Amino acid sequence: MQTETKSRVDQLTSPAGHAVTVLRFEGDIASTSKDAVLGAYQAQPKETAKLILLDFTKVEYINSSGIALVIQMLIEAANSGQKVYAFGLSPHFTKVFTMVGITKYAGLFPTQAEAIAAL
Amino acid sequence: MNDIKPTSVEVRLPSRMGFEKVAMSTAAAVAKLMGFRDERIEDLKTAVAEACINAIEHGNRLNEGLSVGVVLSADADSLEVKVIDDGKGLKTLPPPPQHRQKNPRPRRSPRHGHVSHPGSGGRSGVGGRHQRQK
Repeated sequence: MQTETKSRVDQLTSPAGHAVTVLRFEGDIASTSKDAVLGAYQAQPKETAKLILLDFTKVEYINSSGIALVIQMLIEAANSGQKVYAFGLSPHFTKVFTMVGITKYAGLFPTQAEAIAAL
Repeated sequence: MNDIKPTSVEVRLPSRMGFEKVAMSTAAAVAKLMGFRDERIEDLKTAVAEACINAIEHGNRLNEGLSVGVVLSADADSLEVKVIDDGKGLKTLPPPPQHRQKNPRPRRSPRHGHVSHPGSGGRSGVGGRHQRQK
């Protein structure tokens, strides 16, 4: 019933010349998404992946268990000295992410271009 | 549905994660027919999905032999949603935190208008009332 979560990793360079790791998610983010969300993040080397973007453009449904996974990832990133920004959330999920305090750990931006510009 | 008569829609879900999306879509369809704003429909979808997840996971403890009932009751200017599980409720209620009053009334969230009650008599439920806003 739930759409499987897919994740893909892209490497970009910011206008300032820094390496940026982009985790792109697709499908639903729920309790079954641990491998796709945390697994994709943890597979990135913490020594080099210092700037991370989370792409939610193709995510339609995120429930509380999915938000818990995102928070777990953000706490891990904060503890590792990584900077994380997210983009592509719908206005509703931008509101929900803000309500649950995710903005303490990650900036939220409408588009990839705006997120990269803020890095 | 310009002249809305009191009416209700009922859905029964298996206690399996993911099926909350059926209730979510049904609630959204009813709210859209009633003329809810898109923003309020998104709020309603999240509220209904999370209530169903709680009923599936904590009420029915993922027992697929039990179902979750969702009742959407519409009248002229509001939509009430009840999510009913077959859980046994709590044997004993935990003592209320000291900052709460001794006989707390059901709590109402200012944003969603949700009302929650502890489970009792083999059933627990969560209900909410969304005022129609155009």
